[in-house]
Amino acid sequence: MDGRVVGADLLPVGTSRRTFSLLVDGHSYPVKLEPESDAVRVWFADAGTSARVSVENERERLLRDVKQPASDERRTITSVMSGIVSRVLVQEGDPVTPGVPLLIIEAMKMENEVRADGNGHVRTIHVTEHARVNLGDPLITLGP
Amino acid sequence: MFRKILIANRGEIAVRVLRACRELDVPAVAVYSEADRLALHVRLAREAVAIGPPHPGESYLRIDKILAAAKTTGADAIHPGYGFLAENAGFARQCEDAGITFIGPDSRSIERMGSKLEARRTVIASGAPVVPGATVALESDAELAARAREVGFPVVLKASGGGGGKGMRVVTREEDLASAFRLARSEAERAFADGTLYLERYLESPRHVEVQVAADVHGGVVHLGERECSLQRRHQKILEESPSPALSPELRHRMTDAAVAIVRAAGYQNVGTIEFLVDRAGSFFFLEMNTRLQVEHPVTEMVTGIDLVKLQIRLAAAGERLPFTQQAIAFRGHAMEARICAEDPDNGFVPSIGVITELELPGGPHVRVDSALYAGLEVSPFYDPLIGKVIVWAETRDACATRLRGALGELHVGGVRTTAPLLVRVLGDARFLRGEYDTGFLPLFQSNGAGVSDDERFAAAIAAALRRHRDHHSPAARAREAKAADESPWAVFGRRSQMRRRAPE
Repeated sequence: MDGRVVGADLLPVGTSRRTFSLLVDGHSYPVKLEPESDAVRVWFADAGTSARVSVENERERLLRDVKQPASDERRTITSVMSGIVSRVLVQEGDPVTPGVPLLIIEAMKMENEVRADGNGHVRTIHVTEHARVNLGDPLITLGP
Repeated sequence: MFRKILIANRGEIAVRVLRACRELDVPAVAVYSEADRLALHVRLAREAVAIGPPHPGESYLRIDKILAAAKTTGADAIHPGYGFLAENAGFARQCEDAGITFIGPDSRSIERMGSKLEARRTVIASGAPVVPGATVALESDAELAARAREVGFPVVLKASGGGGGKGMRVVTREEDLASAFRLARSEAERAFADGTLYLERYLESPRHVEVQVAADVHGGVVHLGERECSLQRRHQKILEESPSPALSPELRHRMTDAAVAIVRAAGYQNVGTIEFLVDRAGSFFFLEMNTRLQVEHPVTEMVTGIDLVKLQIRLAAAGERLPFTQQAIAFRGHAMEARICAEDPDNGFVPSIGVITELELPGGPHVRVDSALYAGLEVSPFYDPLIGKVIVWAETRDACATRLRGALGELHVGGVRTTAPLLVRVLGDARFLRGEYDTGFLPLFQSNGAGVSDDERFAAAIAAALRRHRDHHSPAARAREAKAADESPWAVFGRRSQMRRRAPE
């Protein structure tokens, strides 16, 4: 580790897939590991903090360096929460400006407005009213 | 005492009331929606009655179904908990008409004090200070805008039938009024079956301090001290403590006196809470009265040693007197409560729904956990995100904060995100530890971000690398690899085992 030799040991706790006991040179860390896209989030329960770590081997690093990000003017707004679509406030083809409410998601008695993040038109509506949505589900695609 | 008590609620509070019933040796009846068939309160109750589909409007808010359940089971009292029907005067009246005791104040008191509008008028008449605002129910957009201009922006829209931050919206610009009104009204209708809103001047970053009161039907009134509830997100409390670090003995005296005076003026009976806002200059204003048990009642229980739920049930049982005088109530040490909500505090507190895959609870001296959690429980999108509370007591505030921080570090709820990590960080913050916080504290604290120490960053890198190593060398991963290489997994396993045996540790 940065030129240092470290004795480390990571073991799952019980039947858990997320909870681990980490020992680093005799220091004990009760950690929780949550997979995130291309990375893992390491939580330290006793401090309430977390760090996002992405692990790459040499081959992956080379691949990343040559890959170019794709560009697309269409963008899809995804749900930041699980809940139920209580109302869809726009129709396909509607012009939108930043901040315009697109739909309302209800969860745990709170109504949360999903708003447009830029100028454009509503191209695709991926959900219907009363549909149940999960974190990361596509809601609405905006385009030019 | 009652023959049988029906608990018209769910979650941790239903379990809390069940425990009180058990200690009073009164059988308890649970009610449950389709989503709660396997909930803890159903499993722990003597009897359980199904009252309909998951949506609260079709089950926990259905007065007819709950009264029918009480009649079928022969319950002679109903404990409403908090939320749902707890502050619904119509429900209390229908209980009275049906000859069932509503464990709480009488329906007229709920009407008077439970309606935020009517309570404001009552308190104004009694001479206690209130927040400037419009004490009329708001109907049209034009009236709304006119009232808001009168009071002055920023304003806060509130549900007359509400509490707990639901149906509440802060509006700083006139052009946002209509949209905020629409959302607040719709939320209020869903949560409280009453869409009446009113508006108040929004005080920037006041402290929120409330006084617990109890009154019997013979005119006996006592206070049980205050609770500091200024640590809030979305106007909902997330950590409470008693005593408040912000009150001088003199201010505490004036506030508790005012609370007792309001209770007397309103002719209020049973337990209740008078909420005040305290500004930087030490002026206090009546905010609202909660005519029910509060989520944070354990904080008061810890410093007074009084079981508020049992007290509440006793005061509701035919004409029982307060079992103590004001002088006999002793306040000892310090208590704090952390609310564990199924929310992601690092992502705008969005609800985190899912199955509780793992559960480890904290322990140790003076550590109390009130929850309805168990491993395998599904946290449903239909109800409040509060899934549990960790409450601790200690001799001093410092010791109390240290103890709570440790307890929250021990808590592990797998499967959903919770507010626990955020509260652990707050409990380590120097300003919080000095008691210097108001209702504006939490957003500011969060905007400063949560950095990990160098030591933790180092450990995190090692953990992630070891985890990836494990994944790549798990039997499943090896089988996948072998398949890709069109090779027998046993051959690969054997070769790898040999390699590992030869490799130096």
